[in-house]
Amino acid sequence: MRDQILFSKLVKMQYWLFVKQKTHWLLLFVFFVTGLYGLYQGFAFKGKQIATINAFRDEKVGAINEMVKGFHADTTTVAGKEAYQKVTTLILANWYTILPAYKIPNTTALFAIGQGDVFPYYYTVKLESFFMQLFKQNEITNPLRALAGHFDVSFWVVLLLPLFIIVLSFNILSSELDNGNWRLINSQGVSQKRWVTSKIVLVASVTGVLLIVVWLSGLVINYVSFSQPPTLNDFIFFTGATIYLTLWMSVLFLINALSLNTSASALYSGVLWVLICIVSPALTTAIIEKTVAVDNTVVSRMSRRPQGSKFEDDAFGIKTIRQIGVLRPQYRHATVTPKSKGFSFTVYCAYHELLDDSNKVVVRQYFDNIEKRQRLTNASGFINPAAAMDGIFAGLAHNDAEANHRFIWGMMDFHQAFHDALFPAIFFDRKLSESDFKKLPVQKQASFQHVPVWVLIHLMSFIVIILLLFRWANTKFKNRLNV
Amino acid sequence: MLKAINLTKNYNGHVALNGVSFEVNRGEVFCLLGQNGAGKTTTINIFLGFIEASGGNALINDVEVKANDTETKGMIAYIPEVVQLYGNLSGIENLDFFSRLAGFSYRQDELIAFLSKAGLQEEAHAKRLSTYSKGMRQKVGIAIALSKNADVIFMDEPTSGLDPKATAEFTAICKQLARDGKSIFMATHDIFNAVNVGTRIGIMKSGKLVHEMNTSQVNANELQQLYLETI
Repeated sequence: MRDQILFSKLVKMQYWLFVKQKTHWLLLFVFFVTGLYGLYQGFAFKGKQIATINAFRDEKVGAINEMVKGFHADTTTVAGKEAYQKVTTLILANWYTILPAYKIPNTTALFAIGQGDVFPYYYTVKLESFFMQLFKQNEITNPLRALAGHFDVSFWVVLLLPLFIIVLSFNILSSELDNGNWRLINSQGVSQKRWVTSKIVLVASVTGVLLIVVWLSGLVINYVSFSQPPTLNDFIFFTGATIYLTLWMSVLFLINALSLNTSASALYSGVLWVLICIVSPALTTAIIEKTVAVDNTVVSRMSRRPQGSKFEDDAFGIKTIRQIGVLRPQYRHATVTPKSKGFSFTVYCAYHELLDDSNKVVVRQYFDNIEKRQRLTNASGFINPAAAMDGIFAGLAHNDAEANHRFIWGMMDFHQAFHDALFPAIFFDRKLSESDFKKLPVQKQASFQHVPVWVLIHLMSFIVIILLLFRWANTKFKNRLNV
Repeated sequence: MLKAINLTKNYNGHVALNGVSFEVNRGEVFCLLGQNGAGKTTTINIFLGFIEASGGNALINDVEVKANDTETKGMIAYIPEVVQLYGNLSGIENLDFFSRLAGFSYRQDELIAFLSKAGLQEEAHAKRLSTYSKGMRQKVGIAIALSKNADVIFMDEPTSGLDPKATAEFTAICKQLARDGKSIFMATHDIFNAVNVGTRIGIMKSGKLVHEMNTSQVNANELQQLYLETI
């Protein structure tokens, strides 16, 4: 009589059995290629964003530097006079002065595009209304929806790897029961729980290897192509993916504990995948959209440019400039009058400043509601794990609504600093000087690398679900006979 | 070696086994006859630890068998009615796999020896099991049982579907195993084979062991007559 086979040996034997199946190699290849494709999508997206940011920044900064040379131009020549006027005349300077603002994708953005394609990642800061420009750039009309739908690594982890796990482990036990091998296996001293656990461990290991290879490739790409070394966000992304896949393992462990034949196992697994990955995100989104209303037309209505010759109206102009004096005390004693050459342009700038101020509360409310939708989706892990995990990944990549709104508010401050540089010349009726241009702000890059606390809390909730599922399955195995 | 003491099994009010007692000693082949549903497989299931008896005791080498317990698994080997195994593996790979499951690790020449002893021709050893006939699969099943070196071998309808030549080969192997000191417990419908291979025979009806005899006391025709009268 021999002792019971060691668990590690059993896993090794499951591996031996696994590699003997050609279909398993095909599956591995297909899922590995899809993972690499997801990585490529993230790489292409991030690469395009960074290339666009670099070109955009160089172009705008270069243009301003070139324009500032106009202060020293030889005004006795036609070209020199043009260059001087371009930099000193308010309307022309407004036309040509565009400050670049941008949000450089963080390291984890390679793995999760999230809402990165619908929120602005670069922005042209001009003197006109911030919100109007934002709306004109089509960046403000984006109510959040669950599951962004990019074929990136996040998509691969959230939707495709569970399929891989299901295909490999939905019928670990039932296939042996159906084909008649189970009684022989059990008579060799292997219990149902040990058999299923050993195969689950094997599938988890194989899936883990796929994940590690794709993740490590991502870290290398980040370092080589974007000069970004690995960050804590990347490690938490990997941890989150591992936890999510363990959740699926626990689901499959339970299915094997509950079902007695292959067709029932297939039905349970298929239905669960559809429920978790398709039905639940759609339903949750629908419920959240109903619960938290987001009306983007409010913003669009308020951001429209006034029609007609309003800015030529002296009375309207004086009233508007007085109003700006209330909002910005530094311009209370503005010297610009209807007789000034740039009066209508000054009124135009004042009007836009007031427009932004009056819209701020509405936009804040609008953004808050979108973020509320996102928070609700991210917190729905118990009923909606796929969309919740997708939200967590987007959060780590700072490609979610919260991070993008933070970028937008940061741009608004930048926009205000731009006003502070040029408005004195505008409101005090003088030509622009070189020192005004020296006061032009440079955008401070906000940190899009920190790990949001809510991510850690939600990941903990996933661990609780996993423990509950394993416990349930254990009870089922205990009460189940070996036939 | 193998002892059933007043074994009973109830399924939701239905009595599948009703006070069954017997003993199978070393070197004996006990053939259990009976119609479908008479309780033959239930008896085997209890000894294999697949199900729990409602009453009585099932002992292997004086150790009580308990459901879902692996303690007695090392003392027994089992040959099911249909030896399916893994079609994508060869005969020798299947044997290697199942013997490793039981905790053994044999060299290639030892595995070949088991297959040869089970009567599988050498040229088939490395072929995929999906190309095997039922009889050839049965021989791999026997080799798996041999590799376990168990004291007791349970067989559930082992000759079902085998052609006469394969049945004869199987019978010869069983006799050899008995000569080697193994105890064999076989549930079967095959009266003639039972007389041929068995040392003792039992007939079950509705969960009861109604007849038990030595094969030396009866020939095939008499046994058939008794069987028909019993059921």
